[in-house]
Amino acid sequence: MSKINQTSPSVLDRYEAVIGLEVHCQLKTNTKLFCSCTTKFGELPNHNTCEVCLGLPGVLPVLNRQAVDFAIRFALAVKAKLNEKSVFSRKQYFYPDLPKGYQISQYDLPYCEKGELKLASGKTIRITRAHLEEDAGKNVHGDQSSYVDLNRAGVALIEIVSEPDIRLPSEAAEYLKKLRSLVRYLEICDGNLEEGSFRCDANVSIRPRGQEKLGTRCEIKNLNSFRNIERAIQYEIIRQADVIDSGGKIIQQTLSFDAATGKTASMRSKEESHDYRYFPEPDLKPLFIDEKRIAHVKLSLPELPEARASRFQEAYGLSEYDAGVLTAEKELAAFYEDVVQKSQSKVSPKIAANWVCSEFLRELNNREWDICHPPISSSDMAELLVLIGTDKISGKIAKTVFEEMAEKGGKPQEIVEKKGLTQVVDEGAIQALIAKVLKENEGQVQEYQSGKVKLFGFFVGEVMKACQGKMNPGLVNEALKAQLNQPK
Amino acid sequence: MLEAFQSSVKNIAKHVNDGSQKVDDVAEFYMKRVQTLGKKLNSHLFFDEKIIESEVERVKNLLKTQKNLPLAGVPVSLKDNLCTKGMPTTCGSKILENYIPPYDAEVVRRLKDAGALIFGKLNMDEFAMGSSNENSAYGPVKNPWDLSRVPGGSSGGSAAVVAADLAPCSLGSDTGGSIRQPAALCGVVGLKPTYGRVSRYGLVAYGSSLDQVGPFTRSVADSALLLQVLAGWDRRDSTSRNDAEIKSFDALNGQRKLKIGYVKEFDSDQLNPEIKAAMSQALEVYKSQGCEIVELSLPNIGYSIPTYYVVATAEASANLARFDGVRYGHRSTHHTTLNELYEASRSEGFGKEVKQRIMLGTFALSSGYYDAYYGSALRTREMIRQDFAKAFAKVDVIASPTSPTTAFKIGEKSNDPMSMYLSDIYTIATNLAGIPGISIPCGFDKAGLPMGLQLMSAAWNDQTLLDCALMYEEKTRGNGGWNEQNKPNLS
Amino acid sequence: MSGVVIDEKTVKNVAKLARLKLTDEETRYYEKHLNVVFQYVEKIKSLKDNLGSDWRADLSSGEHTPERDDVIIASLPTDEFLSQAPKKIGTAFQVPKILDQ
Ligand SMILES: [Mg+2]
Ligand SMILES: [Zn+2]
Repeated sequence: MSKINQTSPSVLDRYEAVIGLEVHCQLKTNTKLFCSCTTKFGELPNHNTCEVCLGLPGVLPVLNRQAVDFAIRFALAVKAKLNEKSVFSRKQYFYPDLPKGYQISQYDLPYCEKGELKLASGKTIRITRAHLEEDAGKNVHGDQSSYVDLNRAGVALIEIVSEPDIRLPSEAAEYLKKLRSLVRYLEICDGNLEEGSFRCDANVSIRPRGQEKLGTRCEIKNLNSFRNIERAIQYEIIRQADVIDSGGKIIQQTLSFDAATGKTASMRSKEESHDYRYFPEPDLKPLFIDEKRIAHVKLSLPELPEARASRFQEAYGLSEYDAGVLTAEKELAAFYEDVVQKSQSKVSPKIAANWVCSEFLRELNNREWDICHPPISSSDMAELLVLIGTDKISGKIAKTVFEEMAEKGGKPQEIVEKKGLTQVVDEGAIQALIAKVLKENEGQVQEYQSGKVKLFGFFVGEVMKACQGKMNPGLVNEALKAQLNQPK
Repeated sequence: MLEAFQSSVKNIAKHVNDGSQKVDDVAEFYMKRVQTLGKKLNSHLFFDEKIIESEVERVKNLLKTQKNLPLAGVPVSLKDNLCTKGMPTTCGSKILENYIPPYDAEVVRRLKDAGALIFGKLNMDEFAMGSSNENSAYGPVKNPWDLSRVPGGSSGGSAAVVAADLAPCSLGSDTGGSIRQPAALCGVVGLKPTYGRVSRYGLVAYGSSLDQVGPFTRSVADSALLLQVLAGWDRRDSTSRNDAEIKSFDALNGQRKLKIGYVKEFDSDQLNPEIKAAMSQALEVYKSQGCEIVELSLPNIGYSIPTYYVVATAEASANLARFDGVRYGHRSTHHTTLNELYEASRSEGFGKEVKQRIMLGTFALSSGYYDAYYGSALRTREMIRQDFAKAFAKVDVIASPTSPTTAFKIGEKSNDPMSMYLSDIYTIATNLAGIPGISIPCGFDKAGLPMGLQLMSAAWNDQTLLDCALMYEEKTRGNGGWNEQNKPNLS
Repeated sequence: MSGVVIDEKTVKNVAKLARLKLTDEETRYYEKHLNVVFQYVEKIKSLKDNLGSDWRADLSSGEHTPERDDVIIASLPTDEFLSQAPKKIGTAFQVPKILDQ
């Protein structure tokens, strides 16, 4: 790994990486793609199976309408062309998790082609195609044997194939994060990389800078976190550069990435690669998607990240950057809007945005909270902001309160009361403390009064320190100015 | 009351419905016939008296609440590639030797609802691949008219039991002639309905785009009656049609003056002259009834067999991939690795012809050959379909021999793949075109072996086919054609 | 019509793809038979059709596949199919340890 980090810049000076990604998204339908078994997760092996998804002799597939509608949603969101007619094919290979010995997929006529996804830089990654297919089951490996669980077999997937437009490992990660965010926005996939509902394979090749012709590509399978995707691609670029630099040739092969060692290793070469013997699935007629259906699905399309970001800028006066951060994940955007709604009369949406983007997001990431069920709810967050907005506590105290909430939980109001953090707004007390502070710093007072007005900040700091931040900064400012400017 | 060869499906149902015949007696009568003759014919792969008894009970209960069940108390024996819950379904293969499905095929469900008794499972060519029944892992079925001869295939058991009256009717499946050819060779009526007319759910697939389930009976009326029960959309079969209901029996009409075509390309040296003569006679019968006879050309019909052997085997190679020794069926003990498990289980479980067709299909689909073979075959298939479409713009029905020969000797054709494949020369095109076809008895050759007349019609015109078949049957009964007096002597 | 020649290597490769283990005798038998059948099949290449180069068999019927509602139907009780499994552990099917992926 250290080698990668050291050589990486120089390798990318000489070589350009060409990366294409294939993503499998499990659709959140109630039932499987071709049978009526539940897609629920976590049952005992083979408890969510029937004659169809077990591939028993004599069974036939029947297409799930909802899966098609979800797939259409995706196509609309990436501005892809929907084919009015598309065809299912059989992709044949032997493997224990594939009960029929073939997967029903789409091959030479997928339901959707030519979409695109924009990165933050403005660069567009083209999406070649997306197609509907059924998932395989799971093989569990024991010491002596492997075990086959077909609960997942037949679950609906869309496979999304990008053009090789990606040039950097970081771009690959960004594309995937965007894609994941998108399918979650669309409510068609829960986007869980670890549980495998969102899976990625990467095709990587390199070529000398300036060369048109593509190099030989290798496919890296089963990358199960954004970090590993970046690491694996990075490693693979260096590996290929090393091979070429030492006079070798890249062999087209399928690789797997070992997260523990950070290396890719060969699974099979092209010669051993499968001959899938695709042919049209005779048990299904073509899939038909007409304009009327597309229009109908369009109506059910939720607000997408880009549209939501523009709305946030307009409605809440946010910067493009903040709007982008807040809408990157659907749940975060929803959290923010909840906070705004619950605190709007007392605090501006802009301040709410600052708090969510900085304090809240920091804790969310550091503490690996689940944004769907954050320990600090939007109501608590709003309550805290209202305390600031109504001058009950200062911004500084609020940070203390927030840390307490993050660390130990609890309601903002209760923490403030328990810890006696309520802001002092009593003018007499403020005046008295200021007088005390000024007396202790007579020298600086004289300097100030002889023109060194920059010292004002110093006095504010001293007063706030003396009151442990409990005094209202506005009132302190006013009173301080008045006392300092009093003619002697 | 019952006597062999005297009962029709229609009559059994009628008498059971009106109470003049007891279900128990019907079951008892046919059970006895199976017990005395089944072994001789090697027709049954599964026949269990306990299960027959429970079938009788089930039907008796049904009769308590339902009147006029179309198949009340009618024993129906099934080709062993139709899944039956709780009864073995072997497909004539070692690989499924002890396999018991957990569900009923849609046609079985429909038979049960119609009051039929599910009456044992019948021998067949392994996975329906064959034209003589010699490819069964459980030995060949014998032709009831001559036990040294084949009954045809692949639904040989289904044809033989009806010819020998071990059941008044049976079901088979037809991918390239597997109902019609054995029907012809055994002298019974065999109907392959339009593709999509009858659900394939629970029929173990051979060539999915060609397979169709259909009945064997001794009369056209019974065939129509069974089709009426079996036909119709099934939500579990996406290739069945939702307007596939048909009143085939209620609407039966043997008096229609139809336009009948015969195909000049069907004249060949391979055709047995006696069958050719019987064909001409049959056309004379139609003429005498006021039907118009028209000569037709199907220019691409000669491509049928090669087209079929690419399409059917390609589909079969995928359909038979699921037999891997993991979830059901034969699992070899001779393995250590996963790959060895697959190879040993499949090699031990499948017979010679099945392996051959899997390899033919695998080759046709393999990288570099797809366009040349599978791609070309789909195009020739379309040309054949168009030939028929053009022909049926001119005529209502096309008549032809069902098989170029009568029943041949067991072992006679087993070493040359092409001579066996050519047995289906007249039947195969209908599967490629998806149209219906029926074989009806049209007399006997000098050796006393039955001959079959095939009738074909446009897709979804199964009714026309049955009407046309009925006309011939009514005119020829007791007049040189198959009849109640002329029956196999098995005693 | 010069036909394809299916040699021993092709037969072995096809058998491997189809997961069939052939003895030498069987390899020879199928080599012979596959050649006989494919010589005959060659004929289909000679047909001049009028379909046009973009014709697709799978789209030619004009029909489309029915779609069902996304409603769960109870799965099959496991004992109804596990009783057929040649080898199982708990409710999972057992296979020899998978070494490569
Ligand atoms: Mg895929
Ligand atoms: Zn299922």
